[in-house]
Amino acid sequence: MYVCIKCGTPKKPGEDRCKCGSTVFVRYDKKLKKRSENGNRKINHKKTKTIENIKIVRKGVFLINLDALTKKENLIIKDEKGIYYIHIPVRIQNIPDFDKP
Amino acid sequence: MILSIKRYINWLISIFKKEKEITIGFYGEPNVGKTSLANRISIDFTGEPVGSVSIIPHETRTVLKKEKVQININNFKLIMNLLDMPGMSVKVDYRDFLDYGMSYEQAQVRAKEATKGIIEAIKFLDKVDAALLVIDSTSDPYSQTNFILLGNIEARNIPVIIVANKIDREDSNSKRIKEIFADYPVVEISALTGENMELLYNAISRFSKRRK
Repeated sequence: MYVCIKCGTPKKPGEDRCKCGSTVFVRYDKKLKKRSENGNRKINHKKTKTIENIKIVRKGVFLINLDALTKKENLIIKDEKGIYYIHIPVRIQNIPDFDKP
Repeated sequence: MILSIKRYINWLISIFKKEKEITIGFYGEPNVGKTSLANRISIDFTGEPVGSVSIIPHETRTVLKKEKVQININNFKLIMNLLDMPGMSVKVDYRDFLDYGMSYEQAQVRAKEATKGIIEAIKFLDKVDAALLVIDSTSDPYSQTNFILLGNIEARNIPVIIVANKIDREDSNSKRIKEIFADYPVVEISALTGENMELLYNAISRFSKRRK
């Protein structure tokens, strides 16, 4: 089965473009999808409905919600004591100018 | 009126100009060979490496730059600014570094720096003209990180080439990567041995020629 890379909608036969506008479909394998990328430890930020995108579980252990961060959401860090740190705005801070053509 | 004439002239120049400059970001999970690949490209054309490589994950913890790497393919001059990104992952755990002989303190500092590096790499998505998504062909390409990265790169309309690295290894399965990411250009290479690097340079060249 092929699904849209943007919204995850299954590809219908003969369909070239998803209703979200994406033209890219990737093969979806249920058995493989169940496997987490870190062995058997499964991390799913969406299911937990947390607002932080970086969670400090303990000193030296960080859970990162890449999806939220790449969508340019504000950086919200939750430390091991449950304290939230919010960085606004997160975009293009302290990045030196890089000469572009 | 003057503005449209200027645009028309620029368009004409861009057609006949045989030189382009692009900024390429190397993205992927830790230990897939991003720095090895950046080093291979840089050494091939400048003789200098971009950064150090290690078997310990998250060796690259800041964005490494190599500017003005010039390649010539079929009379087409391409100037590349290489941005080697820290390894992207959804979890950074200091305990993963302890197996490599690091102290608790060293491992915890490394984990903190690696997390900071991931945020920096995400910020740099706004700075790249093209992305190379490096995937280790000896491991399972179905990872949350790969799909999040691809989805976001596509959402930003950044052209991407998938690089199936480590094809020199016996357990490599780069065909699987081609099968899964059938809609993307996939180049199978070995950054370590330099195998198929010319295919990658051609792919980059084709991409940049198409870019306005």
